[in-house]
This record gives sequence, structure tokens and C-alpha cells, in this order.
Amino acid sequence: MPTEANTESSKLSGANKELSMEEVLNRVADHDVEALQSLYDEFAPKLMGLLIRILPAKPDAESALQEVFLQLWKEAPGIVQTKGSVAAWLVLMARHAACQRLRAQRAVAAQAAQSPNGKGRTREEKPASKSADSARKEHKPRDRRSAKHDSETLWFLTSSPQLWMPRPADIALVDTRLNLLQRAFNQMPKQQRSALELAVFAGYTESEIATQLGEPLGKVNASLRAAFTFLRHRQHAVLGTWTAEI
Amino acid sequence: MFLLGALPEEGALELREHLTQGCEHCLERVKEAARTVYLLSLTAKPVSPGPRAKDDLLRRLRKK
Repeated sequence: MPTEANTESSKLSGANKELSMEEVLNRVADHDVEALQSLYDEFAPKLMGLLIRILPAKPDAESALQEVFLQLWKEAPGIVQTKGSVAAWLVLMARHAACQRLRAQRAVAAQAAQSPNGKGRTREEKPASKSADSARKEHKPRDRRSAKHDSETLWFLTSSPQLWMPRPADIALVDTRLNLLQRAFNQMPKQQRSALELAVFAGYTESEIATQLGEPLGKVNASLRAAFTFLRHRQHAVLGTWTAEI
Repeated sequence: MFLLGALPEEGALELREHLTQGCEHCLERVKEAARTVYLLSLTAKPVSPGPRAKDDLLRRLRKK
């Protein structure tokens, strides 16, 4: 009996479908709205699942989803040029957009907590409850550290896709083995997994993760490195050739 | 950590400069991280966005 992951992966992409995705992406690069609509129909649920995990408020997640596809509209010619996978690009850009919003929300909440005016507000009035969009508009210079981190990530995603983009056939392989991959992630030691999830799905820095987990920075750093090593070995076992190049 | 935005600012800027200079070893490490983050991201359960999200997006695209 197929698992949920199997069902999803077979629905999303086989190698042939991904090849046709490349043709669709070419049309998006030529600013064909219907082509972008096709990509949206194909990928929006998967991206929304990721966005909701990072931004629990659905309006925020939907706003970030729009942002990702508007960015794709701009960046499609570059992805075509580097022969990157649109599936991988969308997933990583969605994670980036969501974490950027989350950081902005946290920065506004931290400012409110430090401000005398922030004291005594009702829960509904606190800036932390604002949407990510309004939080980003209020992003002040004191939050520059977070913004710089965001720009580092975006720099890598947009300027050097050929450095990391899996090929379409690799993406198809990932989709067929997603349940095995999930099982591998579940086998990760709890401490490593906790640190990694805070970094990947909450956009925290190493020092923030140390605060969240109540652990020394050095220990968190070691946990994160161990988590990546663990996953690298498991990925190799599950996916073979794609990660063999690592 | 660089790719996740999890490094302290100073370390991130240093690494970016280092990558720009073309260190193959570190580029491989960042590439590995990108793949891992991509794979981790796929483990989230799919959720359907509301229909208005798509309508709004298409409206914004047609205005461009």
C-alpha cells in the first residue's frame, strides 16, 4: 500500500513530467502567465506545506507563496540558462522567503518587548501578532543583522544556481524515494534534529538556537554539523548518484 | 550554516568573500547544505492554498 509520501511523489513528477516542466519554464521565462499558472498548480500545495510549517498563519504563508512565484517570474530566464531544476529552486526560495518573514516578525516583537510603549498592550495589539507583510515594512536598521543574513542566502540562491541545482532526473529520483528519506530523517539523534529543525524551519541563527535549546553555542554548532553529516550519509544511501558527487 | 543564514554576520560575510574567490572545497560544502535543506523541505506535508491566493497572484502578474 503506498504511503502518503509515495502518493504525493508519484503525482508530482516523473522524469518525463519534469522534462515538460523545463518547457513550461521556458514559457515562463518568456512571460507566459498561463505557463506560470501551470507551475503554480503543480507546486503550490508542496510549497504551501513548507510555508505553513514555517509561518503558521495561513495568510502569511499565502502571501509568501505569491512572493515566491513573483520571484520566479523574474528569475526564470536565469534558471533556464543554468539548466537548473525549477522544483528545487521553488522549494529553496520558499524556505528563504518564509524565514525572512519570520525573522522580521521576531525583530518587531523584540522591539516591542523592549519599548516602553510595548508594555501593557493587549495580546491582540502586540506587533508580534501583525502579519509578516506589515512586520517587514517596519523592519528597522537595528534588525540589519537578520537582513544581511537574508541577503547572503538570496545571493547564493540567485547568483549561483549551477553550484547546487540537482538535475531534473535527480529530482524525479528524490520524489520516488521520499518515504525512505523521511525515515532516514526520523532516525537522526533527537538533539541534532531539534537544532536542525530550528535552523531550517524557524530561521534561527546558531546563537539563537543555543538560547532556544538552553545549550552552549559550541554544542549547538557541533550538533548542526553532526546533523548535516548524518544526513549526507543517509542521503547517499537513499539517493545514490545524486549525492555521490558530494 | 551559511546557506541557512545561521552564521553570525561577520562569519557569513567572510565566507561569502571566500566563496566568491572560488574555494572548491567550501563550495562543495555549501552545495551539500543546499541539497540537504532542499530534501528536508520536502518532508513537509502538502497543504492546498486558498483559491484567492492564486487569483491575486495572476492579477498581479497581468498588471506587470
